[in-house]
Amino acid sequence: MREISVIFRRELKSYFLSPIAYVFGVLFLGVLLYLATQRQIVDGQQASMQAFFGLLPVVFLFFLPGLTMRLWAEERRSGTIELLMTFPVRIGHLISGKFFAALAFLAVLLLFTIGLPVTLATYGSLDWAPVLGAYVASLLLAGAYLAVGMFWSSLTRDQIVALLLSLVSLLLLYAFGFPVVAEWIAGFLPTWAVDLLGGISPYKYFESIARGVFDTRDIVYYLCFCGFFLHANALVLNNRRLKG
Amino acid sequence: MIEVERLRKDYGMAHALKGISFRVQRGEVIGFLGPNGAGKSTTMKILTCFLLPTSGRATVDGFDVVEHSLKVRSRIGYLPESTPLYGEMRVDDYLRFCAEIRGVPILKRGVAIDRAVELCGLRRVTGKNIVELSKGYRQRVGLAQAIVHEPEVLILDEPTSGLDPNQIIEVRHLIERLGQEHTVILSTHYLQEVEKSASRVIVIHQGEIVADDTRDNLVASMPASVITVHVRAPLEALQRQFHELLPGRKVVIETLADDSLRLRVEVGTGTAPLEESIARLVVKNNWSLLELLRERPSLEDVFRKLTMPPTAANNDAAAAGTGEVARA
Amino acid sequence: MGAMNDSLPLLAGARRHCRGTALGLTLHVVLLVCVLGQLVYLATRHRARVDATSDQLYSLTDSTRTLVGGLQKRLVIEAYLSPNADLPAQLRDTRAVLENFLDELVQLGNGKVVVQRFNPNDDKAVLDKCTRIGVKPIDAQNSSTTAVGVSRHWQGLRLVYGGGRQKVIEQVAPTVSFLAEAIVTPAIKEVVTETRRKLGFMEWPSAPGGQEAQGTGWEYVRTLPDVSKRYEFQNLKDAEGALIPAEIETLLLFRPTDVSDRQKYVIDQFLMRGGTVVLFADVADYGLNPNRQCLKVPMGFDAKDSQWKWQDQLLHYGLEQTNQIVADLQPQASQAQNPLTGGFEYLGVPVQMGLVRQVPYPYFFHALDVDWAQISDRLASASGRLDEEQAAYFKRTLRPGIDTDEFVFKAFKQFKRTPGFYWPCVLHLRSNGAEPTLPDGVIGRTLLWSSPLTIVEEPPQSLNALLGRDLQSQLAANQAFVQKLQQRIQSEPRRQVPLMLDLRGTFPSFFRGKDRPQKVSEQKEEQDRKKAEAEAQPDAGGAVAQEPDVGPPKPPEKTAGEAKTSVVAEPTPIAVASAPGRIVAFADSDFLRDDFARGAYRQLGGPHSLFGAAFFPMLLDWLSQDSDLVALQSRLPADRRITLVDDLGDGSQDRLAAEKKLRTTQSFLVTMNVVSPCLLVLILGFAVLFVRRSQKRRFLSSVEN
Repeated sequence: MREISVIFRRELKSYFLSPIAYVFGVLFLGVLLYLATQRQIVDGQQASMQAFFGLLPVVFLFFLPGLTMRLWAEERRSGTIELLMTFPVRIGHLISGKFFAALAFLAVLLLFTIGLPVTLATYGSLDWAPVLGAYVASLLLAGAYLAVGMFWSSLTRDQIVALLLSLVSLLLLYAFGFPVVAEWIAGFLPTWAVDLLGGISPYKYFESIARGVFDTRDIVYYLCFCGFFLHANALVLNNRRLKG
Repeated sequence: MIEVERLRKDYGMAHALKGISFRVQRGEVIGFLGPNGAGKSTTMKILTCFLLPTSGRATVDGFDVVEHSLKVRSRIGYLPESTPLYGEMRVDDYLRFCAEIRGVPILKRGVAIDRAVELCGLRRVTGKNIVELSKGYRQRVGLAQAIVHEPEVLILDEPTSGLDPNQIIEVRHLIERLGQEHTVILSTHYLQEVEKSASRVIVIHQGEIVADDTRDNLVASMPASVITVHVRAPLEALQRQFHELLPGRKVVIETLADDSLRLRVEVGTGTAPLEESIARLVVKNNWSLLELLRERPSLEDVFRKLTMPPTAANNDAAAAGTGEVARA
Repeated sequence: MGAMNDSLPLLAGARRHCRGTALGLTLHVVLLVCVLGQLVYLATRHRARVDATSDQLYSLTDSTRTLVGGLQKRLVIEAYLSPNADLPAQLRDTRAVLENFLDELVQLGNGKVVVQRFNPNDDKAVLDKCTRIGVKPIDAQNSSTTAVGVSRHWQGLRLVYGGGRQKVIEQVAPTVSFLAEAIVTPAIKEVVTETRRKLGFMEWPSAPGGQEAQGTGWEYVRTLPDVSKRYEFQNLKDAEGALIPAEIETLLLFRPTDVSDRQKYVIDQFLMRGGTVVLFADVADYGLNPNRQCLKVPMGFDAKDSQWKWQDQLLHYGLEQTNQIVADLQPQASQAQNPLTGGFEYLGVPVQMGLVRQVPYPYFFHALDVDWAQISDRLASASGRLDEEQAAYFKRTLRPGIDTDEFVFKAFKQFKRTPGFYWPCVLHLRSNGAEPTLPDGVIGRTLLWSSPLTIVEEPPQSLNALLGRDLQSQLAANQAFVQKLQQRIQSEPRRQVPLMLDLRGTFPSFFRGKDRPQKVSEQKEEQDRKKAEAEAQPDAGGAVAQEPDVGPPKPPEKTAGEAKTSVVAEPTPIAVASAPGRIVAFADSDFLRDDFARGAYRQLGGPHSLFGAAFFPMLLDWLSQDSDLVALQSRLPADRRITLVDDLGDGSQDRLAAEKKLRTTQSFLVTMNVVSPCLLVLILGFAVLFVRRSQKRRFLSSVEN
């Protein structure tokens, strides 16, 4: 735990000391909030955060790879990974520390969106319980995406390659759940494969959370998804020790 | 303290280490010598658990680097090649981070960091970002990072590479000081470093250990050293007198342009100091002594001899031989 | 290490010599995928959901849960669904909701629910079946860039229970899951309910000779589809006076009048064996003829030659019915909540085509979901200053209008009121003035109360509030009518009157120690026998002949031995209740009366007991502890509209201004919400930068010194 917290604090601090992180934050908040307010305040008549949370899976898709691309690639490029890996710290702890730091940075950014539900609550009667729950659950979603981004980052020392790989893989995964895409791939893949791809895709798992219904299925899915990629990340790092 | 047995490491088809074995006693300072790509860094990376060996065994303080890697890592301070650092961090923050993650207890942390800062002479830069530091300071930060938790073993991979001569001297002094308290393994291809500070030298070449001995022994194992006498004297008298003084020794005399003579006397290892008797001889004959010096075979020679491909070494020797004849 | 291909060591490694480790790694990953995949699959099969929305919009109600969880036989849901891919966007959403709902049903059913999917567009046979059983297609216009076409989609269900009973839902396109539930669950309930519950009733409609020609019975509510599907009614007010059949557990009494002794006895014995009596009481019968002249129709509780009084019998059970009626002068109590849709609910006059002007008529009112004790201060300061003693008294004694959390009023609580009552009577728990004095073993409570502004009076001959030929005179008459009442209430004490009561327990028999009233056939037989006896032995004691009976303490019946053997033996009267019975009493019967419930007076502006008809099935479900569908009906999402501008106003100019104001507010809010977080982030960034700078400057200066 100590090790995780030390890594966590260093990583988080480096986020907050990096000017790029602020540019990222402004872009992320600007895009997310602009889209959300258009739907929620201009078009929407209901005081609910459904549109906002409905946007998260897509907005995260495009932004979170930017948050994770440097996590390992940068360490490898500068060689600091050699230091990091020779500290008396388990690989799992290293990964957890970095992962949670990225998540915490995102959580801080999400905290800045709290104005939207407050506005809605001022002008209508907002049901707070699902909103708060969905905020927590959106961290799960973010965790899943971050784990994918981290995994790709560990495979390369070029941040841009990591960014593109995670963006493309997330987009593909997300698209598999899309009805149109599912139909299209159903043309040349057997049904079970289409179902399988649809089951893997994070597309459908955030829908009910956005509405305020917390389903163990969705939560287990996100935890497993996240766990798989974090584990794969550990495998990659371990494998590199073997190969040199 | 460190035991390495038949350690092998393959990178794909390339064999970086071909089963090397050596031991390091507690408190020793080991110089790891070898040309680039000889396997120095690989050995060090295995010892610091950054890499896993293909086969063989390495233990630090009795703990296997594969089985008990955490225990090994906590006993080691490591300065990787080319000194990677987190540039955006401040020196003090960075050292604190290193101390924390290596488990220096919170109460001792301040003292430990102060000590490292003091030892490495970082007092003037603690508040700066690492990225703003000169190469020498960065190297010192790397060293400070490696010693902040007072490890039993220090592994330094080419600590002086890329430094200017002054910086090299500084770092070398630092290592000397560290060597008094820690077991140090130090890799370099600068021989002077090892010559000054290392008590033992391991020469590694193409993944194999070609020499492992104390520095003096290594030097001593070289065939001979040479005394050069530069004197203004009549040639014949000189020849006779030296022949009397050093019966049976090979003395090469050459006449220089200004009619002075230079003698090269090969002396075996372990012979009594000859310089005094040579000096007395010169004074007695009222010759004027221009220069008297003893050329020891340096580690450089040893190194070159050990690591040069055999043919190249022979050529070298042959060239020396012919030169001698010509001058004679 | 330089020899390594850096970008993809995993793949590169797999291709290289390290077969063993690469294989191990692959196995590791495959195993991991399998385990996690299995986990996700299991989680998909066995789901637990937490619905955090405060109105529980997205969770199945307990109704569906208990209904589907308790299935005895297999419920096959045949789903006729055209392929998802062909659906237009709006239907695709409903498909997802429906599929999700069906999935949930399957999970809830523990293997008892099976969903079979058919594609009518694919198979001619299925298509034929669809049209045969009545599943209807949804036609959707799809306009693409090239052509406009109509596509035909199918989204219907057939429920088949136990291979027999079935129900078809022609089309189902729910946009949210609670709508799916509201459609499908009642259908399941219908299919699954194999036997309709039997209810007994007795009704005493207005005498045929009265002023009312049209239906003054209570047939309409009994034949509502919701009711008749699940309940079967049996008229037990027969001429013979037979005891209530054993399978009947609930007996509804619609405005008992002219109750004969035998009927009293039958009701008493029903209560003694643990039956539930539902009493819709009234003391006066007012006719509402087309002129709506509310004139009293003569009515009495007891039949002509009856020995016992109905009111005494009720009092014996702990229920006191006085000969009074109630008017509630609380303005909100007799106003429709929504004048547009509920304007007919109370008394009104038609002013234009289809428009109704509601007039105050305090005899038609409903109980309000208001805790009257909360406003006791206001009530106590009617004279202009606060009477503290009175306020304290009110605080102590006043009860909420809906004084219960029973699910039967759950839906009505959302409307903040109950169904309306029409000329209700005074019916309360037996008391000595302060404390209720119910019989031993009986507990009673009042579920509904009128407001404290209530007048109680002997039913006057006329309660006409709309005298006059034209609208003006009618309104004037109404005003005068109400004013008179308002003057009267000044002198009356503040009090609340019960509108609905619930008594449970082991009731004492009203006929304990009394002679058992005989059946009609018995009476006739006895008369015959008496006649015969009189003929045979004129000096006999006749009627006094005491017959030993099995029931020890009570006076035996007067019937002769031979009669008993010849007719079906009448069971021994029960003197002390053998099982806890129940009386649910309403102080009104009119709100369920055919003419009120059916809306016969809508053309005239009301009254129309809209909610009475809605309430009746809920009441029955509540009485039979069948909470399922009541819970379902009460699910309405809360109003969560955002009002950026207070009111859009009515005038066109106001509307324009309001529109403009709305736009301004919107863009202000959007700007605030988008720009301010970004600015905050930037400020945070600069703050960090500044702090770092100053730290460094301080350090540098300290080094130089």
